[in-house]
Amino acid sequence: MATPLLSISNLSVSFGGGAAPVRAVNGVSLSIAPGAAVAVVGESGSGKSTLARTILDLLPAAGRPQVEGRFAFDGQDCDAARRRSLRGREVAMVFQDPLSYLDPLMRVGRQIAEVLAVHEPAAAPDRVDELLAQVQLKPGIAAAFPHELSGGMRQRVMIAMALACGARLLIADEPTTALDVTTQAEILALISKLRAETGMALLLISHDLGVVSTMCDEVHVMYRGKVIEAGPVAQVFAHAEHDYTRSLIAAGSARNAPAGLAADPAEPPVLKLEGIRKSYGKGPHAVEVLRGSGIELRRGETLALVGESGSGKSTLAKVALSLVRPDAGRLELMGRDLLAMSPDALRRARTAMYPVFQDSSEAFNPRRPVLGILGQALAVAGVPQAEREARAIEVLEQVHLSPGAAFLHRYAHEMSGGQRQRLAIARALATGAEVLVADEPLSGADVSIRDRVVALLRELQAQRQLAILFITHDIWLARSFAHRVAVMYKGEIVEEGPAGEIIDAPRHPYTQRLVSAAPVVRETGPAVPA
Amino acid sequence: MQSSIRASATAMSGPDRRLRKLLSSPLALFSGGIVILLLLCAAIGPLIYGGQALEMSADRLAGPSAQDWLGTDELGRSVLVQMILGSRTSLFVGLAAAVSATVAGALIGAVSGFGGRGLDNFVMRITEIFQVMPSFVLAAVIVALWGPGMGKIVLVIALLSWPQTARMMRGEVLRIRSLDYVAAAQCLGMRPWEVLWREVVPNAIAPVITLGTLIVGQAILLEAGLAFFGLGSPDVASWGKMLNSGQRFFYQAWWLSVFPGVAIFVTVLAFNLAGDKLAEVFNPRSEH
Repeated sequence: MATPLLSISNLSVSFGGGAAPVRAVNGVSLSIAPGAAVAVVGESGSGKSTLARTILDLLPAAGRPQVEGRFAFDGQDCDAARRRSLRGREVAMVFQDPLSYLDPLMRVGRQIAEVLAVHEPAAAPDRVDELLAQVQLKPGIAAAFPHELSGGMRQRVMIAMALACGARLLIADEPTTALDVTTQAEILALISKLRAETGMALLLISHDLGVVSTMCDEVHVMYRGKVIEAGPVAQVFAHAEHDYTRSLIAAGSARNAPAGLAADPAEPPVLKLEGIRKSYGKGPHAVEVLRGSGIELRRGETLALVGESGSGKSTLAKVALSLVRPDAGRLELMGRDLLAMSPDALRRARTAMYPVFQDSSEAFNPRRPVLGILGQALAVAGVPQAEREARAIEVLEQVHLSPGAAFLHRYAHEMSGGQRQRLAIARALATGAEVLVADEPLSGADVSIRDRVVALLRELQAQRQLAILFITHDIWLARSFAHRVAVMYKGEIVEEGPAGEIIDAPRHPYTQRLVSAAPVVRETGPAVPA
Repeated sequence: MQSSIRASATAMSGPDRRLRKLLSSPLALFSGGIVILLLLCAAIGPLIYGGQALEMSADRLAGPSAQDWLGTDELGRSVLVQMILGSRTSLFVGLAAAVSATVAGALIGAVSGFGGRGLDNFVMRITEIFQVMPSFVLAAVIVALWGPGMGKIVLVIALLSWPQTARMMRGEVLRIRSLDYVAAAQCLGMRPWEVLWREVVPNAIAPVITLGTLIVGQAILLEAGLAFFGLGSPDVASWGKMLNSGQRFFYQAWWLSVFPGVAIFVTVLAFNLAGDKLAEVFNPRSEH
């Protein structure tokens, strides 16, 4: 075997020092051959980003990192100083959020030119345009400021800068996580094209096996600081030994059977939106976000609303929750017209429906402990003060936060992401709501959390005949979790029907584009029975 | 071991934790101690020394000594006793002005941020009118028109300070009202004013209280300034007035101006530091 471009052996990184350092990376070895594409997958906290940053000695000094292990680049041993000198010369890095890595006050053309000035002082003046063309951007983009570009364009600029330094290895840390699926597909295609042209090696850090399987030959699965599985992609996928790897594969594939229809279409819907229109702004600057969209949700059923960011799906959710008043249309909850109600009647009627937001520290009032949060919700359901504590414990245990009593006096920001998401569901249950409106409740959540929350929602749906409006951009999740799927594009529902039918055989061109762009785990090994 | 201590710290309820955090910071103890000492001085001092305030002695313009720790003025009155009396004026004016400005500003700001866009615009234009007024000149004009008096000085300072508070409160309310937990509260069927009062205001108030402690300092300075120019109440002792009368004797008796000056400096500094620390402690997310 030829000398690997980069080899890491027995790398351990711990933070904090003192008596109890936190071990983020624990004895990891990997090597990247020249021109190869290697992926490291794992959930947040698994140590994959720490690994990537250690390569260029980019760890935050405030964490007092201690690094042990050996690095070799091109066969030569590298200490920290040598690794720093690789930055932007031999090795370039692309991050998840390009906006925070670009100078907001400098035109992007100049930022690329700056890199050139260091690495290619003799470069011709039109070299910047050449690089922009290579990443498929128009020359005019050079005069733009980073905030004037879309997320995908910014990521292209970052890649152009990586090309400008003539790197032989590109480290991409979740490069497409913040992007829409169709943009993601374009960026991934671009990276593949450039690798083919320049022979650049790639180290891809990702949580998405779908992305990994379209990009890389070799994969390392990290879990709690250790590599638990490694090898050629097809082999790892075919013979996944670790439960964690298996759930990662299941999350990114169309392997799970779609759920059938849950409700009789003849039954009256519990939540019905019809001809909803909403625009923001006035006069010529008005933007029509919703252009006559409508959905129907029945008892015991999950309807997934899928679409890209900007399609209007979150606005539609806000309209459903009566948080935004539409310009036109009809909104019915339990057969009653919410838009025609007096504010007082609306206050009482709306509690039959409750939101579950994306996990964030902003979903809960930071001044209220769990008991306070649930107490408020229980008050809505008419539970008397004296029984609220006992009922709160009961609800916490229903969402598998047990023992419930241990959580009562905690604050939401002291809980983990998965616990917080279950607390959000507990709050919705405590109100006695029959309709849940979940806006991207699992985006940003790791696969292991996601699986557990989805299972919990299914269980509760079966017990209580909950109707769930589930807004997501993840079509595989929509396919396996929802009974029906509605696809939203530019403020309109373009296609709607049973989840399996819509995603496996999309008819509308937009749905076709959405489905084909969504990275799917490419299973090239022997098929595993579903 | 360490981790178990931390675990018990997180298990403590909010107020306990905040108090412990305050007590563990030397800067907070120091500035808080000075504020408490000043308040004690103002509350108890005059009861003990009040009678001696106008007592004159033959020792005119005597420097600091064992008998008169901070010296005497041109009429032989003790500087220390006058300063203790003056602390009453300064602290009363400072606290009364800050409390009224904070309460008024917070209420107006909260309503402005939570109400509609028209109301918000209207209120903000009014705050701008107040903010462009030259504060010292306005105070001087009011005192000149209606005569001096502590109540008027408090009123003037409060009138000039509420816009800062209102603007800060409005900004915080605007930020918080768009957060998910406010939407969650609306979905619980809360009335708008309940949402404002129970969900938004408690999370918006911390920086406003900090600003209030800064206003205490500004108010003390403004009062001292007015008194320095002879616009204070003629019948109450005040640090500013002492500075004013001391300047005539600056070259013979430095202690007449330096000690009141130091008192103003230390008081304003202590309130500002205490305010900073309070803000830190009242942020529920800040660690340690």
